Amino acid sequence: MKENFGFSLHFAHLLVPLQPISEDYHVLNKYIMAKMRGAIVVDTERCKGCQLCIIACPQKVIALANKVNLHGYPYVEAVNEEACVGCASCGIVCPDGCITVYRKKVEE
Amino acid sequence: MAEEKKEVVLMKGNEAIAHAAIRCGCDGYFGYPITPQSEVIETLAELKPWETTGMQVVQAESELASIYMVYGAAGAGKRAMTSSSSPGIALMQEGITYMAGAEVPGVFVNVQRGGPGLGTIQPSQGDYNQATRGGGNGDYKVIVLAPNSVQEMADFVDLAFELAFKYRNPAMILSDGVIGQMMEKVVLPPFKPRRTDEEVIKECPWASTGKPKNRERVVITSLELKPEAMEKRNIALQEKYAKIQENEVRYEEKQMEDAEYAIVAFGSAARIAEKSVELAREQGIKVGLFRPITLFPFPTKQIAELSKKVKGILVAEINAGQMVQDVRLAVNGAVPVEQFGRLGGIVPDPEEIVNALKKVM
Amino acid sequence: MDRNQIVQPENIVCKKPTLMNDNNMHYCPGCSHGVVHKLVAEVIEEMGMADKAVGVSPVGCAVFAYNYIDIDWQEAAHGRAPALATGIKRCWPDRLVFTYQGDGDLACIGTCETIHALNRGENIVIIFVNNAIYGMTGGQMAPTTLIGQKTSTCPYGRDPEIHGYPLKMADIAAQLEGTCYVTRQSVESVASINKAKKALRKAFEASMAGKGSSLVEFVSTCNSGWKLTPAKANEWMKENMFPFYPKGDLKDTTDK
Repeated sequence: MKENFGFSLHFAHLLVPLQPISEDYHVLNKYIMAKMRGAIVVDTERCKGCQLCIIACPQKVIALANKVNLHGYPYVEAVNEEACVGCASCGIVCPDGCITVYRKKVEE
Repeated sequence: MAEEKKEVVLMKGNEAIAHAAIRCGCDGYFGYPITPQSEVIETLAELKPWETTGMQVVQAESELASIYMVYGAAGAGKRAMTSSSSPGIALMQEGITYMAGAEVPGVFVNVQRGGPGLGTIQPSQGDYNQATRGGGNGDYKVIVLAPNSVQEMADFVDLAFELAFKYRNPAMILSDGVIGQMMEKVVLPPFKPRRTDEEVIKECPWASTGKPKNRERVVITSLELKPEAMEKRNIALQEKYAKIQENEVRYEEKQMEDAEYAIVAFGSAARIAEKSVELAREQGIKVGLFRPITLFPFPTKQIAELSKKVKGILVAEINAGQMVQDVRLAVNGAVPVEQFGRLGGIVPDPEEIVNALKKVM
Repeated sequence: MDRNQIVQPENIVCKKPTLMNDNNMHYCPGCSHGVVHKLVAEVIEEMGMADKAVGVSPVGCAVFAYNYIDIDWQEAAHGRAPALATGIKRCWPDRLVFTYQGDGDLACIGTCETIHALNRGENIVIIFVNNAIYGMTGGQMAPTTLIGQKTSTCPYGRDPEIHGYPLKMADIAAQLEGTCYVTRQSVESVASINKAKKALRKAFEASMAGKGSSLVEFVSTCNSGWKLTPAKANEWMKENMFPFYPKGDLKDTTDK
């Protein structure tokens, strides 16, 4: 299955075709049903702690870390990564492109 | 080499600019109508070069828009120009300083008229300071060529582009309503094809033409927030202007060999002063004419030399006294320097200049 | 399955666009500019136009857009970007030429250039990031500031008696003959970002197909100027900006 790296919004072909979605709930549902596991890597020096990823995440994976980076910004980290399904909502809404999202189908 | 068949035609100075632009491979003209130079864009519109050479002709919504269209096209390595008259050039000052700061080789023509403000549509030379001191902000210089004939209007378009691209600096042709509107015989320059895209990319690696993989991105900008970097930039600009001063001075002398007095004049005032020199000589006065052709770089050295040979200098210019300051700086007190000018769009007669000369003597 | 099995290059589904370099962006935390920049970078890359794109950046917060997206750029004087873009596109018709402007740049000092470039049907895309405030200079009133909205130059709220009314540039653009695509989008949620990206792609393709000018407005936030957190700013935008600047396509003649 050919995959386009780095084109963050082209994950649709991995799933059943998405209907036009207005709620992240529908995104979530499809991923859970397809049994995906996800993981995120945060570029902590790029992160500014705006927390929009925390709000976008339907699985409560992300939280503000109790640390600051070299620029003085508190950054985010995955605190509940087992719940991550790799929907990439965090990476998509991140204004600084800090989050690399990985997703792998759970083998039966 | 076969002799080129010379095309000798009779036309206005403004029309010559238009014809010369097409012939020198200009890629785009972006302008706005204003008296006394609307013939430039009207002639271009009539000649339809977009159908022959592919040169773009756009009537912009204002002089502001015009200068920025030139900025865009020239920043992308193309030969782009505009033309206007004094109040319109005043509007363009911001664009000009931006071009100087970003080192963009745009070309523009000022067909001067009386000012200040909206002024009059009659000719003047009141924009000398604006052209050479710069009406925009910051330390910058624009290359300034001052034609005094329809022939020079035609010849200076290609010269302005050559100098602009050689030094990556904006260049202007400082004309006036007399030269723009008068009709003279002119030999139009031969056709030079517009450069191809590949030639532009090769000649102008600094231009924003689209970033291929094998080079860094180009940013055409005059913005630099770090003071140390900005100082370096400014020093580099000053060094560039010094080079231009050293290499690009152009001037003309008439009957200066045995002259006891000199008239220094540019543009249409110089044409009138030529006649004044004739009249004065008839009256036994040994006077010659020194005509700066480049106003930046100003022929400072040459005028300093000249001041050692004459007893007095009259600067004849159609304004309240602008170039006379540069002449005085060059002369540095060696001999008396007086100025004669008319204001409000009035063009002086040759006799008036002779009378003024007698006062110097 | 342990984490190392998931975090493998072949499993990447989302990352910073390749056309965005590693420079940290100077925008405030949570600023919409960052997301719009990502979309511009992604669409240019996906269209294969990275070596043919020329962007024109504004005076405003996005003045340094040229430091982040790895294409050729020109920095315009305040409001004049559409004039620069006209000069570039007329002389380089096969390039993808776009402007990236804020509300002060596009709808105040640049109103004339905006309307005329759009009306001439120049084959360019004008990207309009509208957050109803002057961010870069510290939060002054903009021509798109809403009635009642407080900024540093209308601290008691915008009052039509003193300050006049907010300007709906997209509506004006949709009336112009020269435009082929005028749309309003936003980038606060995954769904809106998906739609916004499609709109941007449509506009870029229309410009390359010679269909005329496009205006893509992104109704955005300025959490610094509005003095709200990024999250609260998104909420404020949904409650106040969306009703006044409704999203959707105002004009689309791209299939003609």
